[in-house]
Amino acid sequence: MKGPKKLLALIGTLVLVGAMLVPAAIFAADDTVTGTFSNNNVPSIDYVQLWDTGGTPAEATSMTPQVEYDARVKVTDADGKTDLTTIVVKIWYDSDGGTPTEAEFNALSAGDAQTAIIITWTETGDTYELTEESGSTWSLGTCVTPADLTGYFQFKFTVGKVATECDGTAAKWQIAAKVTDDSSESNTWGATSYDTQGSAIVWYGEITVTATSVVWGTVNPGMDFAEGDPSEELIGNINYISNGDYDEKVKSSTPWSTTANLDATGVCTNANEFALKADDTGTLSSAVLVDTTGVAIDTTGILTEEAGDTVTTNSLWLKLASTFTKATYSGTITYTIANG
Amino acid sequence: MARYLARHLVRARILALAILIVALLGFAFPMPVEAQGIALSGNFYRQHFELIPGQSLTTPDIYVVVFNNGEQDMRMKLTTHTPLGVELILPTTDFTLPPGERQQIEVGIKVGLQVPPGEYDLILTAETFREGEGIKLTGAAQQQAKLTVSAESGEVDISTVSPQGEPFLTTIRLYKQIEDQNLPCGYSETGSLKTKLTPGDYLVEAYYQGTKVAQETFSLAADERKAITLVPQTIYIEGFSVVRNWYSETGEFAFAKIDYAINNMYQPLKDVTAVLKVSLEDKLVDETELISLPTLDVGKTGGAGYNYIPSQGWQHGTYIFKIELYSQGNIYAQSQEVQMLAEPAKESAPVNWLLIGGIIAGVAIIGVVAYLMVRRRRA
Repeated sequence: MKGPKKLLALIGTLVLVGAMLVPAAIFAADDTVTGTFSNNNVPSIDYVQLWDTGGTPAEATSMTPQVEYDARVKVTDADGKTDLTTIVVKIWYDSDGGTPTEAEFNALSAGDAQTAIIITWTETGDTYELTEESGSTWSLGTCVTPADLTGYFQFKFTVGKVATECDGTAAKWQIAAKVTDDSSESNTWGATSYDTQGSAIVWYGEITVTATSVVWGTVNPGMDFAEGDPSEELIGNINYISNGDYDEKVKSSTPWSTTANLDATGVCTNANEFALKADDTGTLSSAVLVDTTGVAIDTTGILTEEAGDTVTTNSLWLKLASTFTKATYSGTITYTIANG
Repeated sequence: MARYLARHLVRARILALAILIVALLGFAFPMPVEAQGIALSGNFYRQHFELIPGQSLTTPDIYVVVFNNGEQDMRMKLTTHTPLGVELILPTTDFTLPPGERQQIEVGIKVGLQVPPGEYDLILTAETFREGEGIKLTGAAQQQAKLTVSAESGEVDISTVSPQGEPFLTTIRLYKQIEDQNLPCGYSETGSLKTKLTPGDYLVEAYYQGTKVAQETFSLAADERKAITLVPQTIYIEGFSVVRNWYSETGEFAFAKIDYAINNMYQPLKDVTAVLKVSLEDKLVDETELISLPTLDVGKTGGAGYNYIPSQGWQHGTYIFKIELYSQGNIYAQSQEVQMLAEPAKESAPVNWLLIGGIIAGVAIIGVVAYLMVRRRRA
């Protein structure tokens, strides 16, 4: 063959070979392609558990105000811990109890000293932030981030003083978490997204009696209960803080200075007997006789704010037997907050 | 001089009068204020003890917590008010608490043999103790619980054993169930508990290293004797995930990557096998052995990165994955189920129009170049 013909034959061969390659490429079998990929893996939550933080920590179903607890959250993400962006733990009072729903979780956006807190872990900087009501006594502890997702996150927090008391049966505190990754995908809500047991919170009562003593001054034997001086003394402020129902009580020690005996009946027929009445509205007609074990002066106390409920009108009335040894007496009157 | 003395005498009288007024006011008004914040919490008030005469109960699950929220040391005194023959057992009743500190105190109870059946109130008070003369005011916080003394009882003997039947050291917590509440009524750290109980419904839980590993409910009648054996679960499958993977070139579904870890909390376990069970539309399609170990050590054993492809090929539908763990043929643990939606495998590869276009363009370019070369040579 001459040169041009040879060249044409070569071209024809090349075209033919090229054309033959086409079906081979089009109908390649699966196993000839070796590279694989996976799309973003959605993170999931394996469990949310409440633990106490004592010397030998254990799972807990009840919390005590002003004590630290540990919400443990186990997360799985096939893309690893660095793929996560946030874990949000919400702890809230659920008055009708039951199973916490995603709608309830999502609806909670702010802290409330009596009903809710939010703790957010952010992967960037490995930080934990507590969202609480300003001035509340909830606080964040030293939280723990696992080295990788074989471990669990520890969201440590101290329960506020006025976190609503409940027994965990009908009403309960729910503890739930949501994890989000850098593709803004979050775990599917399910039974592992929350602590299935929930938690109770036990009663907390705090009292501050501002005045340290009460002084009747010099009074006469036979003095009866009466409004105003010399029988009545106004006590300074008494502040009550509680996360549930509470009673205000008062009691007296006896004897005073070994010789003056309290007569809880208020009659004072015997020598050196005294009696006391107390009222939190400063009104003798509604006052109650004080005894040695504690008598209620108000049984209507309910859940307070963090600042508590300050009573400014507490009064004590003193009655003395007609025969009474002249002396300066010492004793103790105790104001009490009791679970209601 | 006389005028000078008179002037100073007047000043001295004024000063004396002022001192006297101040002294009188000191009696008329309360003494200098001292902020004190005593607080009490804990679950003692929630208890409704049900005990028989002669019985006692001590458990760390019943406690009070006393707080000093004031700014000075507080001398605390715990007092109780109980019926005759009943005693609240407190490890301490008089202690000093620094500001900002708290103390948790276990509360036990002892009912004397002579206490008649009936309902009683139990009162526990934490109060501050104030030194000094005069009529002092102080604060206290109090909780009140209930006690029922019953003449009827049964007896329960609880023990924890390993799956191999050996004694297992757990912490046992026993609760009486009253109106949906679990009230502590027994405690042991030895893995066994034998006690008399009033008739009723009970819940017993066993804890190992803080984790609840077993629980059981039971009822007890008067004069009944019951043995309860708890077999704790101490092996868990954690971090179980199923990740879909596709062929990057074709976009076809390739395999499911299985990740998991076995957490063995208790003791080494012999002849352990983890089996992956896969079902499609509720029908078991595969049982694959993931791992087989002569001994599963204590701690976490990783099992990451198993690539699963069904023996029958992928079918369209929802696959359900579960791992079961066996030791010597007995099941010890199982994972939660994980669902995965699979696309059907295609019988032929999809048409890759980009590749086809590239090949045709290449052939065409070669042809054009060759044609031009031929024409040039002819010219």
